[in-house]
Amino acid sequence: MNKRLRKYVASLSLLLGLFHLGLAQSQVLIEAESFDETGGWVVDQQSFPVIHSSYLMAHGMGRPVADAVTHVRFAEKGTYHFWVRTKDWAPFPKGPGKFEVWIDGKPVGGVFGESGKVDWMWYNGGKVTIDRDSVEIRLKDLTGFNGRCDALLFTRSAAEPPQDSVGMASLRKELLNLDDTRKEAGHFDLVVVGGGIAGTCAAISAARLGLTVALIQDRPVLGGNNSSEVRVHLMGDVDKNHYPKLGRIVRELDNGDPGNGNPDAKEYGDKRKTDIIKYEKNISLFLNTHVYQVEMNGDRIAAVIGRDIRTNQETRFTGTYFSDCTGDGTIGFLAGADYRMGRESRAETGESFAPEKSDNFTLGTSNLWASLPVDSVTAFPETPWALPFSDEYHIDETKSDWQWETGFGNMNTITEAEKIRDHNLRAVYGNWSYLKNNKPEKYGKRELAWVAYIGGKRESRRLMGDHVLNQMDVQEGKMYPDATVTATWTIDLHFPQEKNSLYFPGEEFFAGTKHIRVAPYTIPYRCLYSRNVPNLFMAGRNISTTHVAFGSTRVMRTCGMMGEVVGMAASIAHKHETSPRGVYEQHLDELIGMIKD
Amino acid sequence: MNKALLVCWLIGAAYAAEAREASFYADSVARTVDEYNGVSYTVQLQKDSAGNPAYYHAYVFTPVCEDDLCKPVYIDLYWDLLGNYLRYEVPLNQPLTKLDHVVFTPEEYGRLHDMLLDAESLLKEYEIEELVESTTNARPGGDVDAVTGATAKSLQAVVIPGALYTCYTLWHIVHGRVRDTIASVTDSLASPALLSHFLRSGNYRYQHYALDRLMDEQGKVASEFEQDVVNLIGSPNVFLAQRVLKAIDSGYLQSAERQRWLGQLFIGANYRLQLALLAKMGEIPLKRELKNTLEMHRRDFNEEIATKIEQLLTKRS
Ligand SMILES: Cc1cc2nc3c(=O)[nH]c(=O)nc-3n(C[C@H](O)[C@H](O)[C@H](O)COP(=O)(O)OP(=O)(O)OC[C@H]3O[C@@H](n4cnc5c(N)ncnc54)[C@H](O)[C@@H]3O)c2cc1C
Repeated sequence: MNKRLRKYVASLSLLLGLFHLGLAQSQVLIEAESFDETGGWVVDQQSFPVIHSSYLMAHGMGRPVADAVTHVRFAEKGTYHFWVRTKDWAPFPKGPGKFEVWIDGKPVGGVFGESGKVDWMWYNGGKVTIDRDSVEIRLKDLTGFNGRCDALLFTRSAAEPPQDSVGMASLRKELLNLDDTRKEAGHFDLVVVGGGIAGTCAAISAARLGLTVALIQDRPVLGGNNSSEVRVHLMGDVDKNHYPKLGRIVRELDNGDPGNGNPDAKEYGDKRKTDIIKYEKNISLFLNTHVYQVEMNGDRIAAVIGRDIRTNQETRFTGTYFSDCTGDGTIGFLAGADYRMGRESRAETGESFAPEKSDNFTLGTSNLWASLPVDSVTAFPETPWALPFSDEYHIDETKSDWQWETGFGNMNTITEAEKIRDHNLRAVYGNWSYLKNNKPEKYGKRELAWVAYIGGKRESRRLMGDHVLNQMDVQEGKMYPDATVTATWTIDLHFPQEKNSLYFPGEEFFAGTKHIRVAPYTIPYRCLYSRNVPNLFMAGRNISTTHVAFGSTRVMRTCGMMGEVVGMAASIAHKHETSPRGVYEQHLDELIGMIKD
Repeated sequence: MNKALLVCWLIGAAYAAEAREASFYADSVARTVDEYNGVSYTVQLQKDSAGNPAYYHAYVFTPVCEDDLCKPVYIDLYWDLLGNYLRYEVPLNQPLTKLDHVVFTPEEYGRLHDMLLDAESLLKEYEIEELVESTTNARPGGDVDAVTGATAKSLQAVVIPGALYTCYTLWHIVHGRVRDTIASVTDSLASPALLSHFLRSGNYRYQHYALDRLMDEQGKVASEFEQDVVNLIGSPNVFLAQRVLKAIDSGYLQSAERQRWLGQLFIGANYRLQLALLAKMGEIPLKRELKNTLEMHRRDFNEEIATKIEQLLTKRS
């Protein structure tokens, strides 16, 4: 099919509501996340940086979830080779993520998800004959234990489809016609990527100062770690501020303190956050949109491109300024901004808490969970694929708190996010199975109420600014002329808990910490913009600090106030048509005046 | 004194059954414990009807605070043979009380037991003088980081409201000097018969204790314990099984019979133990029969296991 014709077919399929249906005559690609109805399956975009796609996952906490269903039109009848892109997420030795694919009421290709292989791959489901214009496809979960499916492919050729993620990315682009169907969102004064507390505050702050703002968030809800998908409570003080004006937006977003991992989702105030954004006429909110590409103009960012995590519709955003509030520093990374990941050495920073040698150590990622009492005794299956527990070692708790944490430098927070999350799940389910089956007096009448499938990340990349905040700044409470946010949290650097290390060496999932007290200190404005990408701000856990100082700056009220400052600085930069650095060099008085006022 | 039991909190069904079914008697072994708060009491070994050491008991009478605000406590305390807390009992006519002499509710008796079970309780970190300060709600004014809220559950969450000193005192007695006293008595009693009994007890604490004593650095044990120690590789406690497997002298795993057993164990073992078993099999000359078993099941698990088996089968022995 020539390019023009393909474009025509694609837009026609859009009209028919069949966007997910890649139409190149001989190959039909169906992205699982784009199914008409996802049933009980959830959309997971957390591995996008690695597999260039979202996928569907049967997160049923051990109970099979409702089918995901879609209808697919075939331009050509006949016999196709059928492929399923999936993995065995817990091949120890075989995982529980089993599911079937049913076409027009019949299972095809056997059971998927239990191959014993952890890599994402195409699995051959044999040949199928399509003798109708449209068929119904169902994903039937068999266990409720996180089976997952990225895509289905029907192809006329007998050749194996590309197994690697790069090959897959180009096949996807081609068959879904991503480049030609991309939408233009328009131009914004400030494009904020990442709708955690930092990004949400940055967007509101800038919008209220008159800038047009795009707020792009890759989940259906705002709040990041404070959303009901992760359930971390807001910490850091807002009542000890050197500039008391900061913290006003943070207070608006604050829905009260339900602790960490509260079983009641509503406590985290997702609706409050979206409602506040909806009242801001200058903000265009783009939920479910994962930004994965930037366009540069020289060393400046000209545009970012996001993909809808469900429909795969792509959108391009151009902007004057950008703010990286992704937590992962993804925008900076894509734009070539200087960044650090892991710990600096003591020789480099002069910090007493820095290690002798620099390394890849980061704080870990958590998947919080909680159980609730029920009226009668319930069962939970044995989980041989999970981490093993016994009377000698198990965690005797009815709910989690922050200590449930995996990935202390042994796994990469970004490129191995899926592995980290899955390790957390193996710990949670293995331990819960032990408690249910061995401590019936305490756990018989309890059920898992909630297990997070979105990992709460603590530490990823830190983007480097004109100042890199360090331990001395924090402990000595240094007050630079460009002091902005006041922070109060301890230097709170986690490490694998000793006992957990003893039982799970190299596979720790439980943390300890030491709180090192700090005097209230301030964060210089120079930590909030990139030192080498001239139109890039940052706020949140990916600002310019050392690993040690990050241990304190990372709490969410503090991150939110950084966002407030970025909004203000962006408005001043815009007014004077200058860069973030220009604000520091030429308009610092105006910025401080605005923060003070 | 009325010795009828008001509360009897038992750890685990095993002990409950033991306590109900067997009859126990006090042995002549008794030691005086002088506690940190000036209280002194006698801890006594109890034996089962067959004469085996079973647990330790002490009847303790202790004030819980310095003034007369709180009533003293009368309590029977029980520890296992290694000094781990098991349970407590209080006499019916001397119930535990809280502030203003309000008696404990049944839930609070339960909470006390849970608290005493936790050898790593937050209470461990505190000196008695620090108690009041840390449980009043007020954050010390102006102190920016009283925010240790994320560190761990606060003390308030651990103790029973109004019974702070009772909790503190009992926890520190239960996990105090008595542990060393008990350890030294048990050490002196650790006969081959007792150690054998420990190995078979199914109690991981006793099993580790016996292993510490019986296994030398080469992983060798006296022949009378050999079979009991080998059996631990099949323990449902994977951590114990792994410890033995790693440490044990591979000479013990060379007979056809033991290898047959290892093969069967491998097929049904937890993944973690499977890997440990394969690693151990790399240290011993494998008999034909075990090789056959591995060959037969080579493809039943995953790539990693298949590869490891392959390596074992092709290894020149
Ligand atoms: C278990 C746990 C306990 C913690 N305890 C506390 C605590 O008690 N109190 C406290 O204040 N802090 C706590 N922290 C730390 C705190 O949650 C983080 O430092 C904080 O969330 C950082 O905020 P943020 O807005 O920078 O990032 P995040 O909260 O990570 O938000 C970033 C958002 O951006 C989205 N995003 C990422 N990449 C893209 C992309 N490419 N395109 C579009 N969107 C994207 C993400 O989905 C996410 O929603 C804890 C963290 C964890 C995980």
